[in-house]
Amino acid sequence: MRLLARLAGYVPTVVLARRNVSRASARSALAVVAVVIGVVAVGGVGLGGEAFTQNQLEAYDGFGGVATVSQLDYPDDGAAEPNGELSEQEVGRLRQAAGSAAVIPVVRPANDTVRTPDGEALFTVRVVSMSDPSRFYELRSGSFPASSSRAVVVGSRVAENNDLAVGDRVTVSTDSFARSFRVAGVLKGQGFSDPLSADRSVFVPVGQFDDPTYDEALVQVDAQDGSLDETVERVETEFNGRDRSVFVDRVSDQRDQRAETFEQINLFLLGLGAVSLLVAAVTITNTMLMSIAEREGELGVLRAVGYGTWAVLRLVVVEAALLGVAGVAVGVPLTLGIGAAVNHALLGDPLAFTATGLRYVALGAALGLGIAVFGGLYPAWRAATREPVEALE
Amino acid sequence: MATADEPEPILRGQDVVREYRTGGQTVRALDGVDFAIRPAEFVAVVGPSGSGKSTLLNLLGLLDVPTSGRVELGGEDVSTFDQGRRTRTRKRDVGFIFQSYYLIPTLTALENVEVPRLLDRTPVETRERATELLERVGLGDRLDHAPDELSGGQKQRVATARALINDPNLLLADEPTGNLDRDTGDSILDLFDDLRTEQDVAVVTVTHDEYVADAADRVVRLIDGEVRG
Ligand SMILES: Nc1ncnc2c1ncn2[C@@H]1O[C@H](COP(=O)(O)OP(=O)(O)O)[C@@H](O)[C@H]1O
Ligand SMILES: [Mg+2]
Repeated sequence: MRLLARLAGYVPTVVLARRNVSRASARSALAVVAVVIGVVAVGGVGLGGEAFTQNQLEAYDGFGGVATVSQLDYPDDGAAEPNGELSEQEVGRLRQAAGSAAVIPVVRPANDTVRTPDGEALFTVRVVSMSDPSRFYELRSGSFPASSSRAVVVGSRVAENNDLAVGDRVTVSTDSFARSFRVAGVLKGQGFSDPLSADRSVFVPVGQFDDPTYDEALVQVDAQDGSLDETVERVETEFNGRDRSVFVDRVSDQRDQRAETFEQINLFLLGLGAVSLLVAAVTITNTMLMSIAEREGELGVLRAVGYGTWAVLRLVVVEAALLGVAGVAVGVPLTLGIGAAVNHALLGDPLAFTATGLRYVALGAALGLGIAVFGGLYPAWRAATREPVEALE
Repeated sequence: MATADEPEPILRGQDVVREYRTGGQTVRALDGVDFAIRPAEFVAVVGPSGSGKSTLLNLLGLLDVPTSGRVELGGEDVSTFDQGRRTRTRKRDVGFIFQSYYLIPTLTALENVEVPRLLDRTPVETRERATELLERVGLGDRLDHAPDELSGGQKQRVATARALINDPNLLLADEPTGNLDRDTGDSILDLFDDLRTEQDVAVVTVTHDEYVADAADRVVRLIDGEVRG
């Protein structure tokens, strides 16, 4: 006896089940496809969501140890809003309080407009000014201009949507000036979570503003120099003693909030994906009901020649499980392939799988197998509890 | 009728009644039947269609239990057996040859014969025994054929080999020669004879064939669920 056949003899239920599954191959294939869809839905949503989350959260990478400080405004009729302005004097106090931490005031001029050389106004583009944006951002092309030069750095979306490249010119007008600037550099894409919305901003050197008012300030602590928490503590003490006058927000908190939001969206989508697994379970049940109805006599013979109810139950469940195994065997590589494509598109690295993402793939596989077994239970119970005499009529 | 030196019956039935309830109606398929099946006996069950022959065979094979009356196996009332024990008893003691064979189409002739013993996980011994049985019924050259590559008579012989794989004490056959030519029928009857003389197997067969009935030790004639004559 050949070795394989001999081994197979020790797992007779699987052998019998496999033969039966291959009997109605079209029907079995459809059930397998249903499982594949379910596995891909759960695993793919998991991987895709992870890649998207990572892609978005990358924007926070340069902002480790950064908090934003903005002046609180107290409108007559409402709660405090962080949209006041910081005066030069307040920035000075902030620098004192922050100690060794870097304080980078940010100007967002009012009535800002950016125009292309042919005069088209770019409505969604905001003007920002801060010293040393290179602290947070990398360039895709060009270089950061000197603080006094007539040159700007533009965000990736600004460049892409308006076909702007290094060397092109744009006109920037604000309350205090209207000047033409050379594009000195284009930033790398940051995603919409970026704290300064750099993608759709034009960075004007601070030297262009004679008398700037600051809308917010960034406080950055180097990990070696001290802790952001202590710095934030000192700033709070300085400004928010009796009255709260500034709003301090750690970028890492913003990041966590974002991450949580993404996670919830992901879970919601996973729930939708799981619905397709339920559909797969119904398909398996239907397939197995048809299968047992077709071979009622055979199953009756098995009972007659000494197969117990458990043996028949197991046989039918194993058949359903084999459909699940086939679905998972096709679904998992397919999911990983899709995940690799998404990773490549969003993160630039096909293999940028995260542990969480892979856990979703495992979850999809486990659920795929689980629902196949679950879907097989009722038909198996029906087949096993059928009186052999009736089955043999 | 029973003499002192006759062996103890394998199976005994007393006043066996089997009723089927369908819709509002009750059909009495067996109406107070007594029987005893002894080792090595060859019993033919004859009677018109609907007279209760298959019902009787099912009761003999512990596939079914009577509505009233007793069916005893080794002195024990089989209606006290639970499902599992009846299944184990069938596996150990009874071989069935069904009228429509019920071979599994995805398995070869050899594998079909092995089916009753597949779960025993003794693949080597099972295969040897199955091969031997198929050779014995003259199908040594058809081991790897699928059922749909076999003629009616060949399927019948596969079903017979399958019934014998667990070395039953009692072989039950529903019209085993029904669709067969005389030569094949003869070879099946010869096989029954061999089993009886070599292994004391009792054979109970339902038949319409007078020729089979003539070969039997005893003929049970059923009419409307009762034994006549
Ligand atoms: N499962 C069943 N349900 C209802 N009636 C049945 C069933 N099986 C057999 N019968 C009835 O019992 C009687 C005897 O049937 P059966 O034993 O199959 O007869 P035979 O094998 O002699 O043709 C018939 O009237 C038949 O209709
Ligand atoms: Mg009948």
